[in-house]
Amino acid sequence: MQRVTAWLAGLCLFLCFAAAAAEEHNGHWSDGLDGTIYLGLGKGYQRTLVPGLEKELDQGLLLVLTGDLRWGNFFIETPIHRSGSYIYSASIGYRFYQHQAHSWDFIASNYNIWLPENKPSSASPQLDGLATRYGDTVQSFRYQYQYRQHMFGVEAGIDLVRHRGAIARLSYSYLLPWRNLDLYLNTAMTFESAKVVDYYYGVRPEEVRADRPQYSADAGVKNHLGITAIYPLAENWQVDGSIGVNLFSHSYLDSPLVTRSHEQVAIVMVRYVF
Amino acid sequence: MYFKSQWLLCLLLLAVFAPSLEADEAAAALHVELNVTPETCISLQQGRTCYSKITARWQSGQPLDLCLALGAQILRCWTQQQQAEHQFEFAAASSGKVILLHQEQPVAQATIAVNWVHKASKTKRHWRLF
Repeated sequence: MQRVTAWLAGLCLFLCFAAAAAEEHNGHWSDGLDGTIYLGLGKGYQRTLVPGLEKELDQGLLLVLTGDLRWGNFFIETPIHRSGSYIYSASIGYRFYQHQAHSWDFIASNYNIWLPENKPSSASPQLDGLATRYGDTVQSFRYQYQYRQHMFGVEAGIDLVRHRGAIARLSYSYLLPWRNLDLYLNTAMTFESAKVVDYYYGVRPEEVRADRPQYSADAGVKNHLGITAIYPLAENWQVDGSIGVNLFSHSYLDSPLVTRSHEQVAIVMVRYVF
Repeated sequence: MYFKSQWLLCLLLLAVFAPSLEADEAAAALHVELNVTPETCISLQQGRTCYSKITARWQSGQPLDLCLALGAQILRCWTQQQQAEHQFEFAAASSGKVILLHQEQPVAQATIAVNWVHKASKTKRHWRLF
């Protein structure tokens, strides 16, 4: 719920910014506003590295507001085509360079999420007694290059509030259209500094138990492989599905909190497109 | 001068509407009925080619020699048939007309509408990170 609130707050902030900037140019605030908003209903399945964290995504039906809005150089976007991450994350950014297929953005986005802040860490016995780990907001620079159906991306940034660690990501996506279906083949490699990995997967002295020794994590790398399919259902309606797997380096897997070798994610959603 | 202009206008209107009137009159005389399913093809993005398997069914009150066409392309012809159906592949970015021809004259027609989920973007649409 907090993620939805954050996304709505971001949307409001974005629209206010657009309105204020348009006033300066003596135009209507909606001039130059472009993009899409989706209201989706669906079901998700997730098997996280730490047992118990997946409960939020797995329970019941998901009602999700996502979107991709642009006004001038400002934009707000949610990962509609991506899997392997959480569906509530969003990026707000400013595109300061665009030339043909190349673009540079400054973005603020969410890379990691733990339990929602209003829930105690007791979703599973393994999480019992753990201090809350908050979702991060990473301020980063992003470079994207699109060549035909290929999309390359490099981004790097730092979180200034939660873990204060650095994150860098290299990604590649290939669009494979087949008749009315769009298939995205996605891969990404994410580097996280020791501060990031330790914030989420480390065990602090006050969290130590008989079956949970203290653990201080080093920097780590995680890899994502995923497929997303989008199919038109009717005018303004589409169905999309994603499956993905996340693979982790030893600094994650060696944590006493982790008992699984990898993550799996699957989401199916019917969306109305505004 | 006024009457001359009026006549010219009438002739012009006749020239514009004559073919469709002719088709309607021919169809009415021959009692040919044409249906296509589905009537709508949905693509993800406005302007993109939409693909759909279409079934066209027709029936008439008497045996006829007919040809089924999609726009200007003849898909199939029948001789002395009273009813028939034909399945074909539709691939177009905009709406298409399916026409039944009798002696090269249209006797019935149906439209396959093309709709979409996303309108064509006002600005250049960039991809999202995966």
